[in-house]
Amino acid sequence: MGVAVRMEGLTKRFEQRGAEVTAVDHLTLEVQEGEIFGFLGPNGAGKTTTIKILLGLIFPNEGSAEVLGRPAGDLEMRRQISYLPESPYFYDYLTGAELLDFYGRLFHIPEKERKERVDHLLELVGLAGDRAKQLKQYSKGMLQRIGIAQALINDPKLLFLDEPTSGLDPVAHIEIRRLIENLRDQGKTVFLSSHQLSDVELVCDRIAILNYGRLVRTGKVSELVTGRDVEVRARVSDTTAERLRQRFPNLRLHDGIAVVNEVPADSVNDVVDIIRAGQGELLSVVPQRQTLEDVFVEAVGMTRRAIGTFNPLSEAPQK
Amino acid sequence: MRNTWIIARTTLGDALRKRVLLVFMMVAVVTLLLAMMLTYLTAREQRTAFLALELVIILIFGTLIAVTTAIFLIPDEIERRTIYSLLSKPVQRWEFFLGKFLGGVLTAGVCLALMTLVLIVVVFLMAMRQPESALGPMLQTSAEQEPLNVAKWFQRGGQDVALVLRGAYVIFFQLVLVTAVATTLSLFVSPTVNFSLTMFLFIVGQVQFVLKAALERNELPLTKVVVGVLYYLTPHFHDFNIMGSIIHSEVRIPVNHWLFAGEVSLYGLMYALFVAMLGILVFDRKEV
Repeated sequence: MGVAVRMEGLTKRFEQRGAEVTAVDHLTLEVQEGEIFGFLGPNGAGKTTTIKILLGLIFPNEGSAEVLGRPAGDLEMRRQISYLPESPYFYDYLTGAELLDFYGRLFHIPEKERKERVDHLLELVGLAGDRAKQLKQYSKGMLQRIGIAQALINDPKLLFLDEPTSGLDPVAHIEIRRLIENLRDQGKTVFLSSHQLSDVELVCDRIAILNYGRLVRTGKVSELVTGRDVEVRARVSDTTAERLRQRFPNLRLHDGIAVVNEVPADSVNDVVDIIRAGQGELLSVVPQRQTLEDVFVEAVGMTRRAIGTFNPLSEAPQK
Repeated sequence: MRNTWIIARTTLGDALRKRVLLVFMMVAVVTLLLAMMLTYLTAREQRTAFLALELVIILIFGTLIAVTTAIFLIPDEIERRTIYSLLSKPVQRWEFFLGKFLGGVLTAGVCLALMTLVLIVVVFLMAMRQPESALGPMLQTSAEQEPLNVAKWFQRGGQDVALVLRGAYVIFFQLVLVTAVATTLSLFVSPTVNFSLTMFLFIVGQVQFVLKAALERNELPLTKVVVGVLYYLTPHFHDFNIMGSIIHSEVRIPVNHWLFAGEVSLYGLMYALFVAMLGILVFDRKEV
């Protein structure tokens, strides 16, 4: 597997009311081919700015970016990728089928093949029955679905999806999630920017969390959500419980069963040794699993504390 | 170029559904029809004044349509974020800019064609009522009127339609030029400022002869420079004026019609292409 997206020291600054705002701050990141990569961060973190640099819509002040081995924004690269913007808007006088046909033409897809793809995609996103309706008659959810269909018109190798499930009802939400999983099965790379942390946790292989334009956490989802702490349960005497409490003040004791939370992984053996030495009965040793939400809040919270109070970037425009 | 054409066609479809454009078209058609009521002039005055007036109406409304369309062509794409989906496809930035410009030209062209069609119908209606000239005296009594001779009617109407088509042809190249200026300016200024600036250039271009005279007469170096810059840089819309030859049929344009048509279209296209090239260069590095 090669590298689908590579960013090195990517930096983007904007002028805002006379002040310079750094929207993306020396971002270095790699996305492997075939993976679903979650790009997370609070509003104004620089996610959309980063995607726009990768697509060549805006230009970095520093650093470099490559997509599918070609410079960001390169024409050949754009033949192989697709983009679904956040809250997409299309020419609303066109019908769903006409819109897909329009984008298909821009890829110079032959007419017969284009027609087949349009039919297939409308079916795929559940809009076959609304193909002749003008987009101005579409609901927000339908627009989101036609947006996803247009992003698939060229059978891309890499998809940039910016909030693809925004505005969708729960059923459509699940359908889009399944669609993204299908894309992975087809070997496509998905660069998914989303606030839906539950979706990201379910579908993404790896994530990066961005805050104030800086990369604050990256890694495999499975590793990030698996906590390093452990919960230990054991039947112990009062004396043993006291010994344990001296090291772990948060110990809870109920009917002779001690529960010790947040035991660091490297201290588990010590805890077990104390229990055994006190003739206690070890009941369970369970790794404490975090949700992605916990990881996100922790990462973003840490950055906010590190940076201090108000940062104008939280109000930065989605450039 | 294929993408340019695809974008131009979509731009035309989008633009033709704009309410402001429909309003301009409706007012233009009503004005063209109202001008038929100019029956108080003498026969010759009426014919010449009528045609010139109708062409001026078409020029004014055509320009308003071209400018109001062009000033929003690119800002609307950015505002509505449709540009993100477009430029993330394999579309070169110059193809996009040229496509939008061409779409603006097509929109102005379609509106011009419709207005011209209305004028042709009006001209034939007038020719049916007037025996001597296509737009001859309308104050004759019914006793004086001859029975309608279809061949004569077509002959009379045909003469004036030729003038109308010549006028429309020249107006089209003015609209191409105006569209190029407004599309390029839209990369620098807001639509309101753009509208004012383009209309200012259009008006200055129409009175080039005043600038030329001022340039020849004025002695103050600073004024001479300002007037000179305005004279040489602004589009010479005055050179597109064929209304004079319509009003004063004895005043012939010093070259034949084909040469004149060739000259104005070449000048209009060259100027428009130069301005569009400038726009392409700027848009190539514009962040969207």
